Parts: sequence; C-alpha cells; structure tokens
Amino acid sequence: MSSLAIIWRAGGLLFSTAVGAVVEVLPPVSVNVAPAVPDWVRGLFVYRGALIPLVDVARLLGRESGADKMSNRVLVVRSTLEGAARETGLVGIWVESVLELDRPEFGAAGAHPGFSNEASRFLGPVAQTRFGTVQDVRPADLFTPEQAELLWARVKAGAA
Amino acid sequence: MSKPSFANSLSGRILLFGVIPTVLVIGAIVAWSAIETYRSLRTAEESVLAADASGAAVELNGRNERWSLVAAILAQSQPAGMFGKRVESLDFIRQVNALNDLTLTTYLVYEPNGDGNDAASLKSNLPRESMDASGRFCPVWTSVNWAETKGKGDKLSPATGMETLEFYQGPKSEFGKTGHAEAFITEPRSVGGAMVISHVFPIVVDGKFQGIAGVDRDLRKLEELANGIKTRSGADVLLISPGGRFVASTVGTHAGAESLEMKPISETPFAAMGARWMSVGAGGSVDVIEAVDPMLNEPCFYGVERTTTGGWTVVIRMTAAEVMAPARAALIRNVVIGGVGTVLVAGLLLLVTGGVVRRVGRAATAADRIARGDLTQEIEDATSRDETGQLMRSMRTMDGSLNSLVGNVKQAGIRLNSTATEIAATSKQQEASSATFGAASNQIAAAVKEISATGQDLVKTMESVSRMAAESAGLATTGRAGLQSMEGVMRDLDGATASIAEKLNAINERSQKITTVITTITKVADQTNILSINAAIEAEKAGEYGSGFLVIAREIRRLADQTASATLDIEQMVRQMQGAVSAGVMEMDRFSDQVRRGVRDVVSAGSQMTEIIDRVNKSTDSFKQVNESMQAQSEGAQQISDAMGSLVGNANQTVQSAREFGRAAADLQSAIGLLRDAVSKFRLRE
Repeated sequence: MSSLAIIWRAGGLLFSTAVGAVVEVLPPVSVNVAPAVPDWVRGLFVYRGALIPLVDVARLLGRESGADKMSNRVLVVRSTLEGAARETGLVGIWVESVLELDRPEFGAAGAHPGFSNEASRFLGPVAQTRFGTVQDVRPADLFTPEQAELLWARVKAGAA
Repeated sequence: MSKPSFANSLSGRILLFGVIPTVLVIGAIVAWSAIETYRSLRTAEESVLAADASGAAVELNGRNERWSLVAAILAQSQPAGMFGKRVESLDFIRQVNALNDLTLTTYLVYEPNGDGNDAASLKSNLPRESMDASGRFCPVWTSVNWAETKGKGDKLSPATGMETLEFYQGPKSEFGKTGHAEAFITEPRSVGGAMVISHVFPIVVDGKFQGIAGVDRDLRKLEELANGIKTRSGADVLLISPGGRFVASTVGTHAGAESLEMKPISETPFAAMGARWMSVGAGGSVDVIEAVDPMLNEPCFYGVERTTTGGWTVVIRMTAAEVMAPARAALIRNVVIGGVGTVLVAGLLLLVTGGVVRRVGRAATAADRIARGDLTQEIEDATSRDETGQLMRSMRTMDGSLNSLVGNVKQAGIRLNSTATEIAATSKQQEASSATFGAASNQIAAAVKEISATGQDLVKTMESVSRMAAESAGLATTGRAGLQSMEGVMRDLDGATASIAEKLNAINERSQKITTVITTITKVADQTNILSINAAIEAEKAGEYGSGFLVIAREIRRLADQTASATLDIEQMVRQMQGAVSAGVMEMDRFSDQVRRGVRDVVSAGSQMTEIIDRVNKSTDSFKQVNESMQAQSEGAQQISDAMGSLVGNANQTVQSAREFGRAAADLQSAIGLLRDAVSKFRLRE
C-alpha cells in the first residue's frame, strides 16, 4: 500500500505530496513583501517564531497564479537540499487549494514516470486518482542550488 | 368846499415841522464837524513840523559831536605819550586827515617851545612845513582831491594866525576860565576860499595848556545835509551859529533869492525874527511860531530847536498854505457833503409832500361828487403805493361798486316788475290746475293698491325659494362630513404604510446580521477543514497508532465540507430575501405616495364643498333681504294710497291759496314802482 499524500491544486493542475514531507497545512498567511526577489517568491512570513520564505509554486512552474481566495492554503515543507540544513530548512508553498488526502498508486498500471528536467526536477511520477490525474512533487528537490542559495541568504539576512 | 390857508394846508405844515428843522440840524452837524476837523488837522500838522525840527536838530547834533570827538582824540593823544614826539604826531594827524573826504584840514598846534624842542627841530630832518620860523610845532594837513588820491596827496603847511584867530584863542581862553578841557566849535570863517568851521580841543599836559588839536569842516557838506532834510520833509531848513550867523540854509535855493550863508542874521530880512529864534532853549520842547515870512511875503510856520553841541539854532520853515492844505480840503469836503445832503433831503421831502397833497386833494373832490349822487365820472387809477395811493384806489373801487350796485338795483326793479305780472298770471293758472289734480289723484290711489297686492304674492314665492336653498345647504354639509371622515381614514392608511416600511427596514437589518453569522460559520468550517487535514497528517506520521484517528479526521473533514455547502445555501436564500424586502420597500413607498395624493384630493374636495355651503347660506340671506324689502314695498304702497287721499284735500286748499297769492302779487307791483322812483336819483355811466 502506498503512503498517504495531500492532493493539491496550483496553476490549474493537480499535484500530490507525501504527508511525510509536510510539516503543517496553514490557511492563507500575510507576508512581508521582499524587494528585488524573483516573482516566484511571494515574500517572508512568521512561522513558529522564525521568518521563512513563501514560494508561489504556480509561478515556479511557469504558470499564472490565480486570484487570492479564502480556500488558498500554505503547505509548510522541509527542504532538505544539500548545504541548506544549517537553517530550519522550512519553506512555505502557496497552493490554490487542498482537495483531499489520498493514497495515489504511482506504481499501478496506467501510471507514468513523468517528464522531468533540470528546471523541474522536483516533479515525480504521475498517477490516476478519483480527482483526476495528479503528479507527485518532492519538496526536497524543489529548488536548484542557485535558488536555494538565494532563499537561505535572504533568510539569514532576515534573521540578522 | 373852501381851500385852507398855506399855514393850515398839508404842504405848509410838512415844510414848517419837517423840512426846516431837518435842514437846520444837518447844517449844525456839518459846521461843527468842519470846525473840529480843521482844528485837529492843524494841531497834527504843527506836531509834524515840530518833529521835523527836532529830527534835524538831533541829526546835526550827532554830526557836531562826532567831529568834536575826532578833535578830542587828536588832543588827548598828546598827554597820553605823544607830546614832544613830533615825527609820530605828524604822521598820526596825517592818517586821521586821510580817513575820509569830510575833513578839510587836520592840525596840531603847540605853544611856542611848549615841548622845549623848537630850536633842536629846526636843525633836525623834520619837514620845515610842520613848524613856523621859530621852530614852533604847528603842522596842518590839507585834503587834496580825496576822491582820487584817498589822502596820499594831502599837503602839509604851517598854521598861521594863532595869536589872533578864534580857533586857537577860543579854546585857550576857555581853558584859562574853566580850568578843564572842553570841545570848542568856532564861528564860520573863510580859509583859502572855502567856508569852514573848526572843531578844536585843548592839549593839556600836567594841568598846563600846551596847544590845541582840531579839524576843519567844509560848510558845503552842511549845505548838502540841509538839502537832504528839505527833500525828506518838504520844508526849508535854516541853521544859525551861536554868534548869529547863517551856517547853512535851503532858502537861497528859491529863485531870485540871495544866498544867506555866512551872513549875520541882523543883515538879512530875518533880522526881526532872529531875536525870537535865538531865545529858544536847547534840548527842550520845539517852539512853533506862526508869522509872515519877510522873503516870501506870506504866512509861514517855523519850528525852532537848539543843538546841544555847538549851540546852533535849527529853523524849519513851511508855508501856512502847505501846512493847512489837508485841513482846508477836509473843511471844503464837509461843507460840500452837508450842502448837497441838505438840498437832497429838502427836495425829497417836498417831492413826497407834493404827491401826497395832490392825491388827497383829488380824493376829496371825488368824494364830494359821489355825495351829490353823480357817478358818471370814473376816478383815475393811482400809481403810488403809499397810504394816499391806497386811499385813491379804495375810492375808485367804491365808485365802481356803487355804480354797479345802483345799476343792479335798477335792473332788478324792472325784472321784479315783470316777474310780479307773471306770478299773477300763474296763480290764476294754478287755480285751474289744482281742480283737475283732484280727479287724477283718485286714479293713482287705485293703481297703488294693485301694486301692493302683487308685492304680497312675490313675497310668498321668495319664501319657498329660500327654503329650498336652505335644504341644499344641509345636504352639502352632510357631504362635507363624509369627506372629512374619509380623509381621516386615508391618513391612518398613510401611517400604517409608514410602519410597514419601518418593519421591512428592520428585516433588512436582520438579514445583514445573518450574512455576518454565515461568514463566521464559513470561516469556522474552513478552519475545521484545515485542522482535519493536519490531524490526518499527524495520524499518518504516527503510523499504525494513528490509523483509527485518520478515519475520524476524514469524517470531520466531510462534516466541515457539508457545513460549508449548507451555509452557501443559506447565504443564497438570505440574498433572495433581501431582494424581496427591497422590492417591498419600494412598493410601499409608491403606495404611500398615492395615499398622500388621495388625502390632498379629499382635502381640496372638502374645501370646495365648504365654499358651496357658504354661497348657499349667503344667498339665503339675500333671499331674506329681498323678502323684507318686498314687504316694505307693499306697506309703502299702502302709505302712498293714504297720502293720495290727503293730497286731494290739499289740492282744494291750494285753489284757495292761489287766489290769495294773486292779490299779493298786485301789492308787490305797486311797491316796485316806489323803488324805481328812489333809484332814478342816481346818474350812472353808460
């Protein structure tokens, strides 16, 4: 039996993330907008006494982010990129909505390993669920080393 | 009417009591004023002459003092340290001589060998012209043409005649008598062809007479001074020395007169007056003498004064004609004004009197004529505005009034006569008419009775009309009451509508609150959803232990979703309800407007009804008035009928009266004949 995953929507597409990588699901948070950062970073917000970055995953995927709603959610995940462990390693992911908790069968017949490249290496295999087709997202591989360096540098600056 | 004598006539009295006293008073005032003016002007002119004499004396005195002071300074320089210093003294007197052109000569004379240097000086470099043959110091500086040389060309010569002449012997003997040095002025004398007087002062050294110092003045300068005074004051000036000689005068300037200079006064025509002039005291009040001048042979005034220095006598002469000219002019002016005034007053008085007398006379004649009953001549109109003019005008008016009055009386007599004749005829005619009048009156009485009966019928008809009008007014009043109650109902309806609208508004507010609650519920459901997801995550992480809880979390999430969808339904229903309420409010507003309009219409209908009622009530009043007047008319007709009855009786009496009236008219005619006889005495203008 496969593990439990959160089915979420962003940029009109469905994704799933294993609950093991998710620390907490939050309602929409207000952020301090940081100047001169890539458009996929919405800013910084306070989570359990520490400032952590909020990443708009739709923009990171190169899709348009929809208008803000009450049903928007923030997934707090642990990014275990190499060299970044010295900090909390927590990142907020801004998603359109969380649909349900499910156990997608990525290994079942009809599943697909997915089209992953260097820019979207966090995208995993694709599976069929009762909500539709979902693609697995691995938070550990969410950022390139350059992106990670940028984020942690900002976090450090914020902490200082 | 006899004419009064001149003394009793109006003009005679005005002349006696008006003109003669006025002329006498004016003449007296003019004469007195002329004498007073003449006297005061003469006194003033004499004072002017005295002031001129005094001023001339003061001026001469000042000059004499100045020259005597020059001599004194020259003399006093010697005992002050220059005595014996011949060179310095010579230079000093030369400088004094060169000061101005008024000085003719300046000199210094020592006593023979007074300084003890006579012999030594003869051998020194001192100019020989400053001493005589014995070496006695006696220098004389004489001015030569000062205007050009300014003293540089002055001539030096020794003095002569010290033993005989007054300029040396005078002060010497004076000092010998009194023992102290005083200024001395000599009589005029001739020096080198010029007339001079000398101002000298003794030189006294250690109380001893040691010579004199002095200056000579040219008499021509004094002559110029006298002429200057004459130019200012217009009077002749005579100047006489204490020795009785004329020093200067302006008399010689008269044409053909002989010059008086240097002559002793006894040898001139003024010899007789000289003694009186010379007796005048110095510095006191000026004497003014009036006498016939021996040279001019006409009366003159002389102002005489003595100078304190030199003791000269100053005489100012002015002819009486010159002095008295202003006084005489004033006298003539007064007499002329007085004379002209007197003549003017007398003339005016006589003119006025003449007019008055003439008009009063005319009035008297006219009054006399009117008294005789003659009104044929018209009284001429008077132009004068005084009381006599008014009298004439009043007479004229009275004459006119009398004329028209008598004329009117005559006319009236004629008319009255014809009227009396007419009256007699008329009274006969009236007698006949009265008889026919009786018959006509009876017919009229019958007609009037008929009118009275018709009036009674009309009164009855009017009463029924009035009753009907009152009934219609009652109906209208009932209608108005119905309208008023309807208006009340409409107002209640309006109030109810307003309260419904309020309630709808309250519902609207409530639904707003429901919306707020729905929002809260939605938020809670959302939070619950998130909590259930997090719970599921934690349960999964707990592995096998959490599997039970996972189911519960899923159930919670499902309930939260149902809550969310249910609230959506409620929200939609609330929104529909709000729409319905808003539409209701609008509908109520429209209805309320219609109700209000209805109320207005009802009110206006009520007021129109009121107006109708008022009008009916008023017409009822009018009907009453008509009714009353008809009754009054009916009664009136009855009274007329009664009156006609008595009228017939009266007509019979009138016939009797007309006969008596005819007799009275005949009496009147005879009286008018008497009046015409009386008036015919007056003769009237055509």
